[in-house]
Amino acid sequence: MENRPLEYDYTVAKMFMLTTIILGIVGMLIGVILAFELAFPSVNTILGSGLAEYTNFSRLRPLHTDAVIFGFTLSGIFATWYYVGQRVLKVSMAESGLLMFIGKLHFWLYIVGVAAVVVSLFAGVTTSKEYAEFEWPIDIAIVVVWVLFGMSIFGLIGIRREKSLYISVWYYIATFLGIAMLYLFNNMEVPTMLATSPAGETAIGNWWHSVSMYAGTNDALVQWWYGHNAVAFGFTVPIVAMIYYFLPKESGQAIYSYKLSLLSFWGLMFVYLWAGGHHLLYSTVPDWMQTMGSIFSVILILPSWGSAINMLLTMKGEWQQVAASPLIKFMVLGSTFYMFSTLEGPIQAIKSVNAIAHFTDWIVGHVHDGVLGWVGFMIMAALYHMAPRVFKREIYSKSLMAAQFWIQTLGVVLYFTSMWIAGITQGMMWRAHDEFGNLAYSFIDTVTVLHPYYAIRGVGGLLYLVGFLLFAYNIYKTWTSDKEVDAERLNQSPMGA
Amino acid sequence: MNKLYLWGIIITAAMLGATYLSVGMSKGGLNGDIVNMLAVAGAVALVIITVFVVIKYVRQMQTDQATGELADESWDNIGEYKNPVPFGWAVMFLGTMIWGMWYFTIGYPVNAFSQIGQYNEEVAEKNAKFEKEYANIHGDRLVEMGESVFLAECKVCHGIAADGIDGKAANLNVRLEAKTVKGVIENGSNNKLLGTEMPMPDRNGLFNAETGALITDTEIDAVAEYVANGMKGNEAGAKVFANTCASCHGPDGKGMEYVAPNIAEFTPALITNVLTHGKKGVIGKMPAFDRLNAKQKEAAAAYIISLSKGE
Repeated sequence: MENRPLEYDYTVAKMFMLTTIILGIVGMLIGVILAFELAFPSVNTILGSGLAEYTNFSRLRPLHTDAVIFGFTLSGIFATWYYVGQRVLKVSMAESGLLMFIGKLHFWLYIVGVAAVVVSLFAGVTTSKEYAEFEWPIDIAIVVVWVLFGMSIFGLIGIRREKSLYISVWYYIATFLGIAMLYLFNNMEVPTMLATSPAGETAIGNWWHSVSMYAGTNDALVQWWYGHNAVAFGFTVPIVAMIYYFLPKESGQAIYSYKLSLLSFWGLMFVYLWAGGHHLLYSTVPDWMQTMGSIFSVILILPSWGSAINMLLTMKGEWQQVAASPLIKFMVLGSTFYMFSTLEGPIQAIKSVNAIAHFTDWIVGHVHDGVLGWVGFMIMAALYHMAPRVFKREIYSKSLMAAQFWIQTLGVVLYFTSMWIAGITQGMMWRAHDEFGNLAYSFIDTVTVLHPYYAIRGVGGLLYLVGFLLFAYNIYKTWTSDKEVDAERLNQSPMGA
Repeated sequence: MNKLYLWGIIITAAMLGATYLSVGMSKGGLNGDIVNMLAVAGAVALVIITVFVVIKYVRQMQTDQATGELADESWDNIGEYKNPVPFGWAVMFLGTMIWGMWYFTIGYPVNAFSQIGQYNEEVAEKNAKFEKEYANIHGDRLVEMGESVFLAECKVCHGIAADGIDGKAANLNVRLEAKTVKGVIENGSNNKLLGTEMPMPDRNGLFNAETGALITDTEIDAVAEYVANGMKGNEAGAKVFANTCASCHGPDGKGMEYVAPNIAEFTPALITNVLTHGKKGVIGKMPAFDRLNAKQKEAAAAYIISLSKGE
């Protein structure tokens, strides 16, 4: 038994790879439509005024954010967990019927949840809380999905052969615990059916519609504690889990420093949770909480950079690999976008800078250089690395992957530079005054000035989407290719020309 | 030169250029505003630090070698070196933590910051500066200030050309439009345009001394046209005015103190009163603009008077 190499079972990983790609296309396509709606308002009614309800910005915006966060990114997290988990714990899903059942149930319930979210958001059924728009029945379904994810993590850990847990597993556990806590507390809600009007009427709402249990400023605080840490435990922690596995694995290099891994992990865990207050600067939230948000945001720079530096130093002396492999390029550039984004965020969280940055496109640019340049790049790199091992086929085309890399890099650069200019311009114009102290511009003046940058952003987003379609095609061709790989490569993924 | 440094310089220059463009496009640029300066400094620091640090590590990829003692474990053939943490990183992490603890427990509480306090202080400072610089401006400078006030506060309804945007608000290029005069005659008016005068009655209180009867529809049309035309033309209207309106508004329409406002032309007192109290009229209700100080109201009046004189 011990002499035979372990065969891992990637059934569930494959299923989630599929949803990663499909929901990625959907979410990014909607994102591109939204970008063009902002640049050219007539796109809002592109299917005619009769269908405007379904095509306007306000209806599509939560579909974009939820599809890329809870569709693309979460699927990517699940897909990589069902791949990485088995391998670093040295145990196969096939060894436990229960875990396999849980994994499949996890997937199918997730699909049911996704369908419910898509239908309800398209129909305009929403709690109106950003990134938490789902009504309470869907929330309960998502909690069940999440519990199944947790059971799979701890179940696999429970039957592991590898004594110590690899750093990636720590990050996956943190993802599970973090989101579980955030999701439960932010989605405490009361069905409006239970409400009583001031006139004493009962059952005035719907059974499925709900409002937050918290009111006013308290709701805002819980919401941004959630919103900010959804970024932490959805866009940072699990993606760091991925790069800690896939970069050393693909390049064959050992991690630069075990201590740096540890310090960065615990630094991130301790600091991230307190920084959410920076979303509410100059609001009705008490001053000391706003200040706390800013302080922790600044401290957060170093643990974030710690992981990125650890990855860059892992590639020490390996420039020829970076130059030769588009797969490694995705991960190395992803790390640098991660650094850029995690320095940009804290700078924007300083109160005086936030006085300009808040409510401008600079924030939108910041989010997207993180999610496009870091989250998107890393998930696609992970799937590229997994594909030849899961499908036992050579990756269809290296040159297509390289083309995709440069197209998407250009897309990200156009996106964040246009939003950089648009955001700072917008912030400056809102504050600008003439010699007599009167505001120099109206809102519409800023809209006119920003129009070209909105158009550039749309083009940047479109390039990224085109790259993602190339990625989907490349994976599809890999899946259906007849170039079988007999023995799994330890490192560099096999790629066709 | 190494291609890497060249790229670093290109990226830095492009981002700094973009930032310069953003600042330059806005009126007044940095405007002596600490928030603007800090934001731009932050943006510049962000670009330079990221480019510098990334170049440093990419250079290590190009020239350095991976070394160190490997840990015993290996996960799916991934090893970890037992290298120490990078010194600069550790120092800065420790530094920010110490700074954070100091700022939260000493720096911030001792400074006793409050955002409302900050607002009050800044407003007081700006008001004092305004008083000092503009207390005595007059003439063309007053009109300039008035235009600035108008563009910030009034143009939303009255339009950039002050034409009232197709009846959305009063056309300020003329003292009164015919429909406004008609509306006032039919419904009366109690806008205290002079501050203290009696209300003007509606048509049931407007007596034509010549005919000895209440004002008629024809007479209203005629006098409205006469007043809207700047107190000239339409002789029938002139007659109605003389016999019905002149007793309060004066034979030339310039009003009488404590009795009735000037309806021939705008006066500073009239505009200042409208800004202070708001106004109800044929078009609708204009809110009071109490956030303007006395000088700003005076300036707005000077600007509107200059408009109606065609200057």
